[in-house]
Amino acid sequence: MSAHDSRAGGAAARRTAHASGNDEQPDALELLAIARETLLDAVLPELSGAARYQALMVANALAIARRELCGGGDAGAGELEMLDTLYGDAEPRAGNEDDAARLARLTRRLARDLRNGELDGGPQLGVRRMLRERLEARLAVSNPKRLGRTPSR
Amino acid sequence: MSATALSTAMLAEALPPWLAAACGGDVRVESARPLSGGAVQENWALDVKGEGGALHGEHALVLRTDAPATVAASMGRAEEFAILQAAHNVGITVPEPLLLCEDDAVLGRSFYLMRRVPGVAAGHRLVRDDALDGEALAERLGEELARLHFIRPPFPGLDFLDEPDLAPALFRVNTYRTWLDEMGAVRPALEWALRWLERFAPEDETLVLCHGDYRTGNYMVEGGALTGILDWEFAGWSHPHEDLGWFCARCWRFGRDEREAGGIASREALFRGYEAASGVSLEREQIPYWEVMATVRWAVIALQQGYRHLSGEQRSLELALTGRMVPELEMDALDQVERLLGVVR
Repeated sequence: MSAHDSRAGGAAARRTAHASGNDEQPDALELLAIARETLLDAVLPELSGAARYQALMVANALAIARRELCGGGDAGAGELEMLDTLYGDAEPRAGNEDDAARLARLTRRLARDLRNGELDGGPQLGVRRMLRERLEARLAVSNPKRLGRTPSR
Repeated sequence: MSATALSTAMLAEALPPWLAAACGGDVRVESARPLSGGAVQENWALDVKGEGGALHGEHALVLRTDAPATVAASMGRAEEFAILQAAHNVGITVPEPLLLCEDDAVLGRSFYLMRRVPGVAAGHRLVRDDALDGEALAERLGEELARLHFIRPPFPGLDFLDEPDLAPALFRVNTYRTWLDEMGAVRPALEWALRWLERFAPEDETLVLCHGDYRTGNYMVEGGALTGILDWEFAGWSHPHEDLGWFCARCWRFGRDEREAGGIASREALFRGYEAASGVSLEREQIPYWEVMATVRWAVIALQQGYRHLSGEQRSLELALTGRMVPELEMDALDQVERLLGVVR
């Protein structure tokens, strides 16, 4: 199962490779996958107590890092779309503002408006749905089990 | 002397002269080993042997001191010692506090000694212990909590604890917002939950001594019986429902979601013990508000722990991974509030 799973996200891996100008194989995703498999299959059985706990944490960290490299960072596009729907007219895009800067600015505005009660009234349902989608994108990286999904090994 | 890492050799050398001065007689440190747990404090198990003086004979002790970094909610060792004394004096089951040292010349930081109590604290082990009578244990923990909540301000020896200048619920909301701002954290879901907590904050201004971290993982159990309530560093004046909500919050059930009281029992067991010892009849529908507060509190503290790693204050994989737990806690908070709102999902 691990051999098959370790190839999931290969397209994202190639994108990453191209973006960084690095075409060496095995790539980062493959290395993270085999490092984790080795830790769980070969190292963990030799460990007990605190060391075993530490190794499980390392395995978890490797899995999160791999899922993030597999495209977890792409969650921003959907978020920006939702924020644009909420704020588009009130917060026009500045001339030189790229997506990342705009996402950061609108997220700050959202947090501030929520705190100040600006969104208490009508848009509650839409706001809750938006928050949920944001969190689902993050949980798909940090803890897919929480979404009722079985993570790949 | 700066706060360098403690070691067995250092403790065996530095403690005996101080112990002899404090207790009289001759005191030897027979063994010292670090105890796991406590991302914020450092705990060492000590076996000491005294000839004459107040520590005559063999004693199993714990030395508790500050780890290299602390979180915003956490107090110093001297204050924690005073709280442990107050709790011990009113008959709460705690490790007996023995000696406080605020002289940095001894270990480079404040520390105190208490008796070591036997048993297991680890939450993931307790919730999987099939031999454990969780209902009886939760009832007992309810009784202990009720006795703690008899302590109300002002109380001798606890003058250093500030009384909130707002109703406890609103005070907490303000505190967590301040903590978020101090980190520069932009967390819309937490802001949403905090706004809800602000809008529906109970106005009740009752103040009691709350433990502040009363949950599975922070009490010791031996042979099914409670042997000691630990980790008093977050204690303070707050509303009694805060401790009850914290104990029941989903994030402290260690995966045993169906056992709503700390993964060990029904919440009714905890409430039963609390009511029997306090004579108060709990308004059960008010507890879930404080469970939302619990989730938000833990989320903000988890963020702080992640920042502690990131800032280089204390590099640690455990702290780093705790930082990545925040989204699931935020999702928990949303779920909890929607359940209270009766939103069908």
